Order: sequence, then structure tokens, then C-alpha cells
Amino acid sequence: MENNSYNYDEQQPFAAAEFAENPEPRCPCVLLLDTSGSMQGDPIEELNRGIQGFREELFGDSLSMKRVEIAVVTFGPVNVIQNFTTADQFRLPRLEAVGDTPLGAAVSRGLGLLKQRKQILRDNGIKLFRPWIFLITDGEPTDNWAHLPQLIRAGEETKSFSFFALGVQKADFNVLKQIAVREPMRLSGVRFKEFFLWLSASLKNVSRSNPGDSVPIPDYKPYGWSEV
Amino acid sequence: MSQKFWRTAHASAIGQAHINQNTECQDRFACQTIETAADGEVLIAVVADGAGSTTDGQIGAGIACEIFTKEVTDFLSAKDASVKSLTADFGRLWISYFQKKIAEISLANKKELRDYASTFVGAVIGAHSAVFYQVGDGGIVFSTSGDAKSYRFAIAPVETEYVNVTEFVTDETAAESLRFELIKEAVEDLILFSDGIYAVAVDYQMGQPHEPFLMPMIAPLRNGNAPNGLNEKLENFLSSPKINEKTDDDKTIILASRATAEVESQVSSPKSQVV
Repeated sequence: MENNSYNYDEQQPFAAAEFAENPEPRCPCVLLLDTSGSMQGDPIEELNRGIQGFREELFGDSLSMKRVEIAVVTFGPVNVIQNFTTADQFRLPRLEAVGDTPLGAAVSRGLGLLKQRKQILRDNGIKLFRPWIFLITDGEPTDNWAHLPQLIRAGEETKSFSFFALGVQKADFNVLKQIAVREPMRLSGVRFKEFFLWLSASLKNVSRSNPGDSVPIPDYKPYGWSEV
Repeated sequence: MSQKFWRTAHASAIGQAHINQNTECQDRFACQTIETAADGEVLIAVVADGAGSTTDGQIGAGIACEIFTKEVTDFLSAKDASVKSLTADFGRLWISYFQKKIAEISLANKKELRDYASTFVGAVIGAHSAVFYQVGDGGIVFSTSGDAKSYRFAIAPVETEYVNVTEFVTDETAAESLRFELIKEAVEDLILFSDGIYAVAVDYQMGQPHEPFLMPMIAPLRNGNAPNGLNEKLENFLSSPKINEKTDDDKTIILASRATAEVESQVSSPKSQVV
């Protein structure tokens, strides 16, 4: 029988088995990847390398492998190429740059997936880490993204997720700064390994920033990236 | 003759995440017994978990253990003071002393209160009553019999939205988030632990202490046949790959039991160890 309550029915029947086999708390992680025409050439290559690096560093951390589950949304057009899965199942096709840049629609889709996943985890008694959303782009949206800054600020303030904007070389960082609360970072400078370290004790003091507090940027010093 | 006295074992072990970041273990603990007029031998056990993202959480944790132990000792040394006269207000007063001390230290070091963030679990156990204090995560488990299915949380764990969100004794709201329990029963076994071994010490699905893990740990203390160097063995166990595959956080455990001991026979004919 068809189950209309979720978009991704095929994963549902086995959810309970999946969680019995791996009851570790989960950190849902959404990758929003810009595969629009403007990413052609070096940027898309950089993006492919970046995601490869993300995957490799995740594989280097056995506990995070059980905890981080990844969904991948590419845009344009918006396409869920990977619904949430733990690292061992995380495979990524080679990304190619085509089409426009519907950033607004991609973020909305990512947030929808995230909301759905959190519910599934909770329904199965699985504990959660605060989810991460990584937006990787050159910062040239073609659709209406005026609502995004407010949406993302609200999510950060209610601690629904942590949103990181990563720019490829020559990205328009002014756009990224408007979208994200946290200071955007260069993709090439990101060491994902340090994000995975947040899943241990280091993440604890997320509780210390209250709604309205500014959310300091990860600055890659050992204790600077604490407020996620 | 037989008499009751506390046997204890305790250890902290650094988590893999802290090794990877080249930082020290930020858990601290204290465990001691004192003689009191009202309650005889009283056990004071404390575990504090310095926040992993701070530089000085372990200092806050150490001071929390130190001040709590001292304040309880002073309180119980007063004439007529008993364990069951320790109240939630005592806990709030202790928090104010602690925060005052941390404020001095942070000022002197040009830091902020939250740089010393730490959680806190503490237990004070008398002959026929016990009190428990908790701010943030970690756990206190006890049994009045040592039997299977008798181990329960002294203070029920709080559900938070995310596993890595907790409260600290350095928080402005710490006095409000302090949780307190008084029980008027004779506690036989006591186990305190930091968040780092929560994954193995607690049955997530049931929300109960995980006895298959905890009971064998306390067995050598219960049956009075603890081998020498138990603390060291405990530390090795906490550092073992078996534990580390479940957690990369610092982990601390205090085990205490006062099962009735045949004092004379203990030396000559040790009972067999149940593991």
C-alpha cells in the first residue's frame, strides 16, 4: 500500500531495522550544491573535489560515520540526488554544471527534507545532534531568494539547524553574507574533519547561545568553532 | 561480626576527540567518606564534566567538585546536621559559592564565566537517607538491594532537543535548572558517571540504567573481592576500544557499594568473584 505521508516511501519500511542496527544519535547533514551553468569549468571541479574531501574525512572518523547522515540536493534544477543516508551508503555521482540557479527553491527543498528526517528519527526514538546545512555555490542565484536571510536566521535562532555558506573560487561573497548568519567560508579552506569533531563533547555549549545572540563564526582555531 | 562500610572505585579516561584535538581530559571527580555524628559514615561522590568546547571547563569542573565536597563536609560537621537536612536550597547556595569563585578566577584571567562551563552530578549518602544534585547531563544510579532490576536513576534524565545540548553550573540560570532528590532509604550501591559513557551506561530505548553494563562493573565491590589496583583497571577499561567505539568523549565513573561485609572472614577466605 502506498504511504503518502512521506515523499520517500522506499526508505520507510526499513527505518526501524536501520535504527536497531545503528542506534547512534544522528546528525542530519544537507548538502545544497550549486550545479548551475555558471559553475562550469573550475568551480564545478572544485565542488567535486570538495565533496570528495568531505566524504574522505568522514570515512576517517568511525564514530561520525555512524552519526552523520547526508542528503544531497543539487540545483539547477532542484534535484534530490541523495536522500538521508549514513556515510557507508553515501555515494556521489560526478556533478556537472548545467541550467539556472534556483537557490531559493533548493534551500526550501533542503529544509523540507530535513524536517521530514527529524520527524522520522524522533518517531524511532533516535537522538539528534543539531543538523547542519552546507550551501556550496558561486553565489549567483537566478530565482527569488529575498526570503532566505530571514528563513535562515530564524532557523539558526531556534536552533533548528546550523547553516554554513561555502563559496567556490570567485564566488560572490556579498550574496553569501546576506544569506547566512555565519560568515561565509571558502570551500577550499574548509577542513570538514573539524566539523565532525563537533559531534563529540565540543558541541556541548550550543546551549549557551540564546536566541538573539550572534552566532560566531567557525574560525578554525581549536576552540573558535564552538558555537554551532 | 559484620559491619557496613563503603568500598569505592573510580576513574576518568580521556576521550578520543580530546586526544585528536590535543587537549586534556576535562572530566573531574571527587569521592570520599566522612564520619558524622548523625549518619555515621557518609559517602560524598561528585562528577563534573567540563564543557568540551571551552579552554577551562576542566578548571570549572575541578572547582565544582572541590567546593561541593567542602561545603557538604562543613555542613555535616555541624552538630545535629544530617544528610536528610540537605535541601535543594543548600544546592542553590552551593551554586552561588561556586559561581562567585569562578567569577573571581575568570576576572583574574580576563575570561568569562562560561569559559569554565561544567555539568555537575553529586550524591551524599547516609545510613538511611541520601540526597542527589544535578545540573546538566551525566547520571546518578543507585540500588537499595543490588538485585537485578533494582538499579534506577536518582534523578531522571532530562530530554533535550539535541543530545549535545546541556546546562552548566556556570549558567546564570543554574540555580533554576538544579535538580534535587531526597530519598529516605538505605542506598547500597551507587554509580555516578559523566555524559561520555551515557551510550553504554543507559538503555536509550527504555530510558533506564543499562544493568548488563553496570552490574558487572560494581560486582567486585559488592562481593568484597575487589582486586588490587581496581581504579587502574577501571581506567584501562574506560580507555579500551570496546568503549571507544561507542564514544569519543571523556568518560568518568564512580562505583560505590556498601554490601554487608564479614570483616573477619574477608581476609582469610575471599569469596569468589562474580563477573
